[in-house]
Amino acid sequence: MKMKRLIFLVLLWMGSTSTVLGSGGAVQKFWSKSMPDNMIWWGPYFFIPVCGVGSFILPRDSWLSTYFASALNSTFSSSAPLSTTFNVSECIGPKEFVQNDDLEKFAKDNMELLASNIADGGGETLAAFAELAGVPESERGRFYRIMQNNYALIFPAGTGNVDVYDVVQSIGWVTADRGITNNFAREFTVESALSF
Amino acid sequence: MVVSFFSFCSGAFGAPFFSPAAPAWSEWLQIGHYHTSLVTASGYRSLIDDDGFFFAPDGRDDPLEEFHHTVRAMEAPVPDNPDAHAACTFPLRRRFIQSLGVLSEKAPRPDCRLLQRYRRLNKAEGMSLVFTTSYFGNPASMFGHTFLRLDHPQRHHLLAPSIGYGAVNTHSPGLAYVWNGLTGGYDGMFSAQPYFRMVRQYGLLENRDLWEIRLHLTGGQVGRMTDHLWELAGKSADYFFLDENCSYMLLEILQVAAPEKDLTRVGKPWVLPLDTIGVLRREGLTGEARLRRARATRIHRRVMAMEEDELTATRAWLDALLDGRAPGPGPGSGPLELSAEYLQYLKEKEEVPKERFAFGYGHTLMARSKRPKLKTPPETKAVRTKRPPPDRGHGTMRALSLFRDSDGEGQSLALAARLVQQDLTDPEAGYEPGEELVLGEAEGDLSSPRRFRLRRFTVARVRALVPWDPLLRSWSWQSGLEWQRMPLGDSHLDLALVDAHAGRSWHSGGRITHVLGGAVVKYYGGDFGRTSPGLSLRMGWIGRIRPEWKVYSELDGRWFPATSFDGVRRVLAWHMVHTWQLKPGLALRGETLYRDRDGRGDRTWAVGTAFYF
Repeated sequence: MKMKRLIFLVLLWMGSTSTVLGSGGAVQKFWSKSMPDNMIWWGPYFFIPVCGVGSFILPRDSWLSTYFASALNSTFSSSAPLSTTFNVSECIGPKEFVQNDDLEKFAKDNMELLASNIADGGGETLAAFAELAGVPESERGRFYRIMQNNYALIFPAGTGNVDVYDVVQSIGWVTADRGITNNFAREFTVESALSF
Repeated sequence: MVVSFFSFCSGAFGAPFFSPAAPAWSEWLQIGHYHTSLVTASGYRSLIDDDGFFFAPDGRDDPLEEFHHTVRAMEAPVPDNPDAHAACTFPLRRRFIQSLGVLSEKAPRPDCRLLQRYRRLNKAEGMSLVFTTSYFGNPASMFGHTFLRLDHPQRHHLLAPSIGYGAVNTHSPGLAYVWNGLTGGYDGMFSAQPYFRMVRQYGLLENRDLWEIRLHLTGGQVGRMTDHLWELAGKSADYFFLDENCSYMLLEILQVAAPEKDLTRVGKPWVLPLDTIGVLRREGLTGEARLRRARATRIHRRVMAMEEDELTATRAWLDALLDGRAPGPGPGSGPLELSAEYLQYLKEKEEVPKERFAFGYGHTLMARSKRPKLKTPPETKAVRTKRPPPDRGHGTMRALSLFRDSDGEGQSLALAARLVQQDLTDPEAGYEPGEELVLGEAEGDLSSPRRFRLRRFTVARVRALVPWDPLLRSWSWQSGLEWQRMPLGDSHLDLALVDAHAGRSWHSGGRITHVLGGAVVKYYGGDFGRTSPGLSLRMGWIGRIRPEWKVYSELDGRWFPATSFDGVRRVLAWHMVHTWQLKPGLALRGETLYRDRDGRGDRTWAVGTAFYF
């Protein structure tokens, strides 16, 4: 039993200290041999912390929903129970991030571009998102790298359902843990400008 | 007369504290959007038609009366809701009246919370005019579109508010839509959107390049304009397609920002987006321009810059995904990024089912996230470019004056006038390469001092020479409708000509080569009423010998299966035009035309000048 815990802690450490999480780390290589090609990786985690029942709703016409649905049906259905190993009821992201409605609105409007920029490791839409999220200029480069390395966590294939709220919150999780984002209360003009 | 009338006009509530003789009178007219009118007693009428914009019952037609009522409203007690006070709803008017020193000491200073919030959210230290290039998918968008963007150094430009003016509730069928648009049957209003939504609409969905032209305006001037937009919030004006349109009304509010300029004088009975840009340039307001390329343009540039093996890998990756097959490990970063952009392009054009797009896009991004970031990321934002921006282009109207010599008809002076806007022989600086849009062009000969003969009238001619590449495989096309008058002995023959062509064109280093095939239909008018369909093949080359020297050359072959009325079955024409641009409004022009009709050839050459205004 102790041995199992030790192995688990080692795996956890290896994953969380890697700056290339999910893209070639030792743990992933080990697991890749036996898991589907599109398995989601975040260090040793191959399951996704999903927060709240409400986050299971995704617009029907979203590219994300159909992508995840197809991925779920084709390759990932057997691993779905793994997500229950996380106590989702205690899954709490940075409060400010969740409360930043404008961040969600921006992400919703630009979801495809945002996903693309995150996968690319940079881009204009991601830069605007970073500004909106209050990521300091000096941290932008690191923010982009972390976003790219955690693409699979932010846009998880296999959970079956993810929405904009989840995406924004996942970004909050990933970045807050690394001390990048702490000010998400910026005022934004998306809707306020419309009111004029 | 109008001025003298107002000079002696007392205020409705007391002394003649303001009159048309006052130095600030013109600024008051600008703030109220008053223009001279022949149908009102005052000699003025405001472009704003909404009663909510005026305090005086006759405020729309009487600027002086409106001024007096505005002063009284500013001095009125603050209501329970301070935001409803005139000082809060009309902050620029308040500032203007205060600057005149006519407000009494009892004039209140209400706490305008909504206004303060609005100012905070829309703060700007600069402004850009954004010009979206023409969109041939919608007749109303063929001339491009303009809107403003409020810039602030501490705000990403994608998050900036953009201000546009447009008609609302324009859902009318066919001719009713045109009629309403021409006669002011729609309401026009200003509205704001975050810039990223405009980029998405124009650059990604409609695949139009966006020019972002910085305007030379101070933060204070921009503040005046945003305050004035607050005054216009929810107020409507009759929308006219030709003049009081989305482009002209921007000049109206920019005039408020810069009262010392003369921005509302366009000098034409209609205002196109390029005319608006021309006015801003004339008044010295245009600055640095950046180009934000449309998605299709970006894809094309990436494809053309790719090595053959990369392109092959991209195609293989895309083919597998679009077939619904699980792809292999995938190509490198560049091909994957191109694949993602191409899949989005297909989706927006509804050329791929949503499920298939989702499958392909998801797999592509997942694979991309596992590749390193490119050392030189592809262009995704607005950039400086050597391509001349639209404010460097020529005017949208053209007049031609050419000395012409023809084998068959001798010497004459050829005169032509065109309403709008650009053909492929014109200097292309400031215009989209390979795009032609001609409306209302008349051409005739002055063969003797008293004899002018109209030869041709082009109702419309549109050409889009879209660059072809192995991924997008975009079609080039052209279509036109024109009327010709052909000499027939001592009389003449009226002829209507309709054509439609499609094919390919290749753009390389500023040169365009095209091959288009299509159909031509001739219709002989008058007593000779008869239709004659034919086939056509056009091959051409457009290039530049020097930056200011443009060459256009085209071979046009036409074949009419049935003998047409004029007895001609085969026509082969070679047309070459040299254009030397001396300045934006003036170019020298030389052209030759060789035409062979069933073996009978004739040559024409002409030299002269082209004026643009």
